[in-house]
Amino acid sequence: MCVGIGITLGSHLTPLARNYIEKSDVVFAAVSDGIVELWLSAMHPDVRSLQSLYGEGKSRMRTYREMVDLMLAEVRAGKHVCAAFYGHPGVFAWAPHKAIEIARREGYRAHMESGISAEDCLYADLGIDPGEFGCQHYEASQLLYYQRRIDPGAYLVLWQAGVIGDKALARVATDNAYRQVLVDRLAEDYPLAHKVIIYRAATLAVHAPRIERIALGKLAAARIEPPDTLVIAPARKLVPNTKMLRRLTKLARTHA
Amino acid sequence: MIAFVLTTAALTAARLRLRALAARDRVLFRTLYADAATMRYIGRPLSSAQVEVSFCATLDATRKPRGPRFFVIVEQHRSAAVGLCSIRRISMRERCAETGIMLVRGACGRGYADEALGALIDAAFRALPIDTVWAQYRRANTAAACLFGALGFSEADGWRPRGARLRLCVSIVQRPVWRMQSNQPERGVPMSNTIGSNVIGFLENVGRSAALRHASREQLLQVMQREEIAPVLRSALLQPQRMAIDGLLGVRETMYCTNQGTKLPKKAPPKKTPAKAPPKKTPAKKPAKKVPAKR
Ligand SMILES: C[S@@+](CC[C@H](N)C(=O)[O-])C[C@H]1O[C@@H](n2cnc3c(N)ncnc32)[C@H](O)[C@@H]1O
Repeated sequence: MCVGIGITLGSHLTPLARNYIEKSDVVFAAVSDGIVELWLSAMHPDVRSLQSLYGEGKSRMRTYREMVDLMLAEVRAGKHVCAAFYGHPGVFAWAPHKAIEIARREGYRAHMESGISAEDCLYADLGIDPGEFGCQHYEASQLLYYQRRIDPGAYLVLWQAGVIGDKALARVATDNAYRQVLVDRLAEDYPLAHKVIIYRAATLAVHAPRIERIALGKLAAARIEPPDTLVIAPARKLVPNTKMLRRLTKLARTHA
Repeated sequence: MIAFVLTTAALTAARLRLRALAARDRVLFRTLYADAATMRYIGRPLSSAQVEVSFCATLDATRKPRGPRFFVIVEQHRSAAVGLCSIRRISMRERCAETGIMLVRGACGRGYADEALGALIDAAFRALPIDTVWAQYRRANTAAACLFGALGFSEADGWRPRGARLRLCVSIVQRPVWRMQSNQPERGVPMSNTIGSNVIGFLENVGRSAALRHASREQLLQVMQREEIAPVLRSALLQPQRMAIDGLLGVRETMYCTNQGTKLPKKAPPKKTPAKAPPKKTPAKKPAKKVPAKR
């Protein structure tokens, strides 16, 4: 069972996720915050942190594989295992999807229970409705490694910008030079004066979210940490698709 | 293969800190292994040459992904190394690991062994895929028997893990027993757990209360006062920076799990070549189309 515990301590954990945590034999925890980990540890006598698998200079892909191995070792030992991930366990998260895939392939019952993601928080905190202009989500590095088409008429949300361009997946953060590459890529679609929001939802309810608006041209020099997400509002008005509109008008007439 | 990682970040006890054994610890190693009194229940004290060989071999072994993990026990107040403790013979098959400890003579009798092993075993149960931690010692070593007894170990009833020597007494502690007793604040548990619980309770209340979730600073201060949260914690909690409160609770300051890594493209994308005239289509040898059934 992979559950999400949400982002804000105390606010987001669903009754069902808590029940899975309490009822399992073993709980694995991959969370974003030391205090959240303490909170989780109190819910079950056997909570094992996956945090110790991370290491500076060690490939994160190796860490993710080890996470999956550890979880599956307990499943194969016949235990009911619950893996608790911060946010939504299936949003920008490799290990939970992989663990479920392997467990099912080996004939075990496995399930993912959704949680409140950083994405959900940002809609509320920034007052954005993804339905208004559309909303694109990219892993920031993917935007650089691959040729992707950005639609500047929609919102753009960039995840993991704090470690952008780390090809070895081994750094805890990347610096200005890496962010400048991102600025250059974004400048192909947005004016340098266009505002980018650096957003971080509060993990502790006593704190406010980080919402900082900064011009794209200044983004390289800004402080962007691993938990931050970048949000870019549309820079272009929606252009009517006259061809489709004409077709629809015709259709409406024939169906009248 | 899973590498066993025990982060030293979590390894702090009230008076001690544990850090991984490093090349600079040769002197400490010699102080322990060449000293007849310290080695009384372990074996013959090592000669200088033997110390050297043993030190290098131990360091090498700790660098292997599944090798033993040796930690230097450091007194927090004067940053002095006072002993070594270890987790080794980590067996995924038997789901167990051995622990052991040695203190320099001047550090005995202060409860350090209890404190250091408390933190180490706690971390081992958190991080490793094991259900049992065991220790072996000579029956005559009453100090070891007392130490492990106080830590909740009991004699293994006929169970001999691999690596246990025949004539030595084997004591074990199992995960549920350890968990149950490590909720008692007085033994080996990091300070954070004792003061932490009412702070965490407070944070959980604020998180789930409609009245408090967006309360003002003053309202939050009042609630903290009512819940008898220490003044130093109150102001740390309300600072937007996390350093103060994380430090007081003894949690990792910057703990962060990135869970996803974008894979690099396998090959560099093909360079754009100037548009060529499309190759002339030669009639492909297509399989004959199915003749539509006559209606
Ligand atoms: C590996 S992803 C995990 C996302 C998580 N599963 C979720 O549902 O939110 C990590 C990225 O999530 C975003 N993120 C994590 N915590 C955040 C927070 N507190 N506020 C805003 N974004 C956050 C950042 O973009 C970060 O780089």
